Amino acid sequence: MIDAIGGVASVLLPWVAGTYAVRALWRRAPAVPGVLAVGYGYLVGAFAATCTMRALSLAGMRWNLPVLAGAMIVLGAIAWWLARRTAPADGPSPGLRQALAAEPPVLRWLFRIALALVAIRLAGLAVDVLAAPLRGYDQWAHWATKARVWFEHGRMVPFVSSDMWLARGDPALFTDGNPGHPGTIPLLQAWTATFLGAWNESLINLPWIALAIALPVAFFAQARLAGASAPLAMVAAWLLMSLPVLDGHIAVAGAADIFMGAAYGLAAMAAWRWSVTREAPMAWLAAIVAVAGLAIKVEGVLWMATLVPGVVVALSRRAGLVLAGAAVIAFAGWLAFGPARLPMMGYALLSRPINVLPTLIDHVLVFDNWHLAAYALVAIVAWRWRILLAPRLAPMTMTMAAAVGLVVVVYFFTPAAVGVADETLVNRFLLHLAPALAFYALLLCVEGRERPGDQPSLQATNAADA
Amino acid sequence: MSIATAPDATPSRGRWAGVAALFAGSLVVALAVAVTLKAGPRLHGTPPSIDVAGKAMQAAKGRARVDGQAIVLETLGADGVGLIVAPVAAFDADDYTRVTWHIGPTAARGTEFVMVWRTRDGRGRTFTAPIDWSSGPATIDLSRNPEWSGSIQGVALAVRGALPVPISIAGFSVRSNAWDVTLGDIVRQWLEWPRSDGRRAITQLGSEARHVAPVLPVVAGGVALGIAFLIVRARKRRLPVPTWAVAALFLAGWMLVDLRWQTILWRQHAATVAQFAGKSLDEQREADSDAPIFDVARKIRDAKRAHGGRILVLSDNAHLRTRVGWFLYPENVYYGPAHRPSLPSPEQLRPGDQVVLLLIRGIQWDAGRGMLVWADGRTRAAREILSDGTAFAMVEIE
Repeated sequence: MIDAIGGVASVLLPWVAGTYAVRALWRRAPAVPGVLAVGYGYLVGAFAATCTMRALSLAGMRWNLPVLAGAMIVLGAIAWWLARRTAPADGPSPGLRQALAAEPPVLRWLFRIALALVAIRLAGLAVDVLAAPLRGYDQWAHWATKARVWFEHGRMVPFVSSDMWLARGDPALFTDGNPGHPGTIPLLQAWTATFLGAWNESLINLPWIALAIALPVAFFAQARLAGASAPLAMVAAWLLMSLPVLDGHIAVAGAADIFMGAAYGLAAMAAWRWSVTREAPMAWLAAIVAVAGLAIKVEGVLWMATLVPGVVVALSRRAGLVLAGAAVIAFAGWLAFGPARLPMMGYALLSRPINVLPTLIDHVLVFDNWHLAAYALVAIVAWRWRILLAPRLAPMTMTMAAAVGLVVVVYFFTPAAVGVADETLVNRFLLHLAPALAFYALLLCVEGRERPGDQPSLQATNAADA
Repeated sequence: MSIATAPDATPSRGRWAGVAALFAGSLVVALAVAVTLKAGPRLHGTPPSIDVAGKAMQAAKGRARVDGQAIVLETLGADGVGLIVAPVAAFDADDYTRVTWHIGPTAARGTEFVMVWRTRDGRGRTFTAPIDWSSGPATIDLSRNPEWSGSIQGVALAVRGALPVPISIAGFSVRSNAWDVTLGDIVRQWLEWPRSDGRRAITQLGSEARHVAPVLPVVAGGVALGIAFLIVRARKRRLPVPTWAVAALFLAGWMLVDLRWQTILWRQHAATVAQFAGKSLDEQREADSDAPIFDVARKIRDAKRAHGGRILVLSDNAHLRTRVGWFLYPENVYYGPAHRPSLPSPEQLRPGDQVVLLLIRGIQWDAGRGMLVWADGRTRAAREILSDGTAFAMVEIE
């Protein structure tokens, strides 16, 4: 019982604080939909929780439950105070119930079925998370190692490479399978363990369940803002949450990939939304989630960099397209004239590709790792190719083009190709892209149609576009 | 391609039924195409398979022993090859093309498998085909191999490369490629549970590599056929393509593959609960498939020794040392990089460091002299904490 209370509190405190923090961003603007605040709230709150732990560590204070819980309550209270409405109300926006009531019965049923399917899936995955100890090499060799040590010490202690560990001989230094990973994920596990009061190898993975709930909520909210009807948005959320690789990474909790994918997806959706409405709070939200993503995995910097082309296109479409063309030409020049191997950010960039296409095709188009997503994406892009660079879509198109380019470069032009060929990396890296790509596919479907979910600010933008 | 996006009127029940029938029909056609592409010329396969139990096999090269129903290859021959021969009566290659060797759950990295056979017309020649295998049954489809022809007189499994751990072969089977057997195999594989051992949960469906026809392309083909039919019919009638029908076909296809995935997940959830739920952490680890590794780690963890210092877990097997290391956290554990051996030099060890030697050749514990002895003769004095023959020792540096 104590475990249950501690576990629930460890998730709810940052979630509530994060939700109010998101709402506070909109304190001088028309109200943000509550669903959006809840969806983004967990990631924002969890990131704030890890920042608190980092700060305490830096200050030399040992983590303990009263301090951590107190910090989160104070943060939540400040956010709540800031979130009080100061901006004039825009009039009541239609709620979900009203939106559904306006749909034909068959679509209302579709909404309910999709919602039920998401709930059933998440319930089953939660059983796996709550029952099992850590499974999967990365989980116990790269991530929870730090969480276990930091929880024991009540603070962050340094992890170094095994060579340095041997050479320095300092008993204050620790090592593991990947000491270079950022600390966010192990901090989340240590956070939960602190609330539990003990190391529990199943319950420390509660953040994975929380994220699995927050991700479809945020996706649904952004889909509604993008103009999808409630049934369509809910079906899209179900399609996303039914992806086997995504489900697998929730079930085998403890690795960072699902967090990376969620952070990138949430940042990309918010960045696109900003590109359409130019709402400053949405830009702040995108920036906060992007920064959180940087602290999840080393690759976070690469993924978040792919948001830049979209932002540039949003600010100046011509400049963005010129820059994109220049990047493509530069890469072609690199392939033609570059050295065989160029060290970059701890990796090596190769100018001669490694052919991992057969493995990639198998895992994307033949094995049921992504259901029909790849087929659907190709079909949707072929169907809607004329609007890919339309003013509203161009920013997201450029972001997705950059992200796909990143996948191509990593898979074919770096030694990571070995990981793709031996099937350890092939789906994990794509998972980072999946939520954002799913949202892009939805955008391609709904763009050009009636957009009942538009906010007044977006309607003004649409009018300006017209 | 252009699809009209004009809003469709709410479809009638009859139109829904029509789309359902179209989906079912398209799926049947796609499945029939998949079976036809994989099947041989015969409609009925009798018998459906030729099976040989492992205990009936013999090692023509290397050393093997029979263990229950399986044969266990323990060492390779002098030429670095082990050859396990399965006694079979002659059979027609055209009728039997899908070969499966039921190999034990795992093999070490670097172990390679090759299918070997002889034919009546081959005049004593031996033919081979590499088997791409990582875990579970090793399956190879020889229907496109031109040398798999005529009357097959003998089959064998060649094992080459490294054999750090013995390999168990439970049996050999070769499936008929008749239409009915192929259809049965395809559907059976779609419904089987890909979790092949006790520990791993499913994070990707790479095991479908051994499926005769994986479900995804078949369903995608069915959906594509259905949509193509809608487009062609709409063009003929000069009407817009009904987007609701396209969406319904797509969602039906998605739901079908997801229903299969959901059943896989439910089986996984049930297995996870049965294996781990309600147990303490130690009990969970005892229930895991690598419980013997935890058993070793627990001996180290619970040994009478000083705590709070550094522990170096040294082994030639990277997985073994990493896993043992994990079980010892939150102590200050070293197990070296995963992809290269990394032995500390004697000078890098500090007094009080505890060293675990686990199936390692580069350093030995000389209990008589109270010394750790490196392969090049260097030594470091130490005190024994635990030891079990040459395979395992734990000492503290003095």
